Amino acid sequence: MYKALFFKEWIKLRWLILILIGLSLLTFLKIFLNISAAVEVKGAYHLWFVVIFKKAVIYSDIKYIIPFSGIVLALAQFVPETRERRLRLLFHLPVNHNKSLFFMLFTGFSAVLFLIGINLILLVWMMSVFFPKEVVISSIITSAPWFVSGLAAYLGISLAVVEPAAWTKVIYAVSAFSMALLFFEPDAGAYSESLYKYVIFSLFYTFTLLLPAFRFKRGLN
Amino acid sequence: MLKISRISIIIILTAVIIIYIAPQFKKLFVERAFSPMIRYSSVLEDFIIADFNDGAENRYYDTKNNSYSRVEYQKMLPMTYYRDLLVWKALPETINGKKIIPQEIEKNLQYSMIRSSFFNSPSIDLYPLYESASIFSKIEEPQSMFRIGSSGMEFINSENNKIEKEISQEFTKALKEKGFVFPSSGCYGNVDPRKPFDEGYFIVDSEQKIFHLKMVKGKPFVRDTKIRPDTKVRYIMFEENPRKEYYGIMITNNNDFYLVTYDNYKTVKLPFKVENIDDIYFLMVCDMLKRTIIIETGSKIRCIATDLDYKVIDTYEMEPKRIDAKASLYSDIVFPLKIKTSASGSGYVFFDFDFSYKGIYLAFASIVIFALFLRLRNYRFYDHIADFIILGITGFSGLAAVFAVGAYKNGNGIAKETAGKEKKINFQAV
Repeated sequence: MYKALFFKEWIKLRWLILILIGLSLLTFLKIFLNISAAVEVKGAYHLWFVVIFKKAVIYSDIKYIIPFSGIVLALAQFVPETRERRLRLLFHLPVNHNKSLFFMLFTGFSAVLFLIGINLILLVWMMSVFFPKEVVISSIITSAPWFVSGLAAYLGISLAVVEPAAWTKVIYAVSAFSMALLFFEPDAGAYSESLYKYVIFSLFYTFTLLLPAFRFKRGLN
Repeated sequence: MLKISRISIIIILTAVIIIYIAPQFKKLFVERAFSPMIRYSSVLEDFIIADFNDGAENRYYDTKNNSYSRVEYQKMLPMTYYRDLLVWKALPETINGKKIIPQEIEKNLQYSMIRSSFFNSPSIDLYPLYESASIFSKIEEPQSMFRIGSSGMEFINSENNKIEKEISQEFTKALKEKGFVFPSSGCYGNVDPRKPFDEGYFIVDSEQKIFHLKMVKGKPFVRDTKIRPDTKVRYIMFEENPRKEYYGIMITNNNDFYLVTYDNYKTVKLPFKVENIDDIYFLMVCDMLKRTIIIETGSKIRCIATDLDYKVIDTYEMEPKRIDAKASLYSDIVFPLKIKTSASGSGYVFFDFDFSYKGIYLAFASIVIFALFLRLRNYRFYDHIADFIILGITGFSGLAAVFAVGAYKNGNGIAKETAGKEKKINFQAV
């Protein structure tokens, strides 16, 4: 049964995942060309100095890729389910309701994680071409909160989409947006001491989908 | 599971409300206040304060509360405002028996400043090594940067991102010969190429010995400074200044401040002690007559005037009006629990809880309101124990979140309450 559920989610997400991978590749290509041009024009030392001491985040274009992917995937997964109350069909399947819901979330969550993995590999590869390992590590620490914000955005938007009551939906969407924004302090490496706390805080989102799904099942709005 | 889900949503909404609304709420009540500028006047032999507190009309006064005009104030501080005094032909010929020569004033001026954010910010441990004995007056930018690795110093060429083996070995050997024990526990220097000259770096080794490293004519220059601090070094503010009195200011983990002087690296302990180094503004003004040290920590400003040998002449302390004194109080009352995401004196982002007992009254009020609501609706109290705990800690922010999510109706379902209209619940299993 879970295989069939996975297939259902796969059909909804496969093209989007491909498009989002394309978006990541294009963004990295742009940053790569920018850096190459800067090295050519000003010299690599100048670029190093700006990145290391002026704390310039030269790869900041990737900031919004993962949160955007999280939002898109959540919408793609749950908007079709809420139309004509299709989600209720899920509760007629011979599987535990909570488990099937978590399975859906797990599929989307894994898709976001997959995109994070691709972005991380591209970032590490690109930075290692131009910079020593200290800068590469710093870029991972700097971009980690952006990636985590994508997971929070995915879970938050799923919650808002499934919620049947219109006003509550708005409140959930606004809170998901605000939550994602918490990860966007501009300074390089600023979250190195506290990122784990933000991750723990985001984990509260894991269980939240059950309540709106229950209300959905009961036809409350 | 549903209860966990509901409480998770309430916790997220409450936290979002607190993080975003508490700081904005505080901004409603900020007041105009500037930190006063305190200096020691050698003419007056007293501290003199410029207070920009009273709106457009600035006030200048001394510690005995004598007021001065702006011109009088500037005349009291000839070392700071000597240019104006020269134009006014009001520069005294001697002060405390010392002859005042305008050219000497400028030569002897130095401002050394340290903020906590200098050492409480993320940094990348790579440094450029400039040529200290260049024949050119302008400092030339190198092509490489160095790191102090676990077993040696490594220079990395920026053009090809590869380690320059020869020079790396040469510098590592020079450091080891002088007794440096790798790895290093700190490297401090001034990386700004616009400085007047270069003195290289102070590097602390794993045994807390401090070495002076620079490059002279392309060769390593390494000296063991023989500085052995009692505790670990927290930070060294390195500053090349043509006065050449000190290389910089060292702060140890005991919160002691030391000057590292050009006199064979002799250290001079500065005559003050601070409790908390994590939110500090330190300024030392050196002039030809005295030193004035200003330390701002949290709400207090401390001012110490010393002679040229750093013996205390006079001290003064004040607690200026804070811009957010009223705002903090109101915010504490309305938001018993606050989530601190940033702190002055630090470049890091936080997620720390800050609870204030001043907020318990409104927290209690929010509990009463919610209890009344449950009573009116005939909902069970024990289904909402977690809600009451959240309200007790967070007050009205929690109440807003609880109402947004809705109450838990008699164990059977979640009722969404909007504008007093109760929605019918279909208890039939779907």
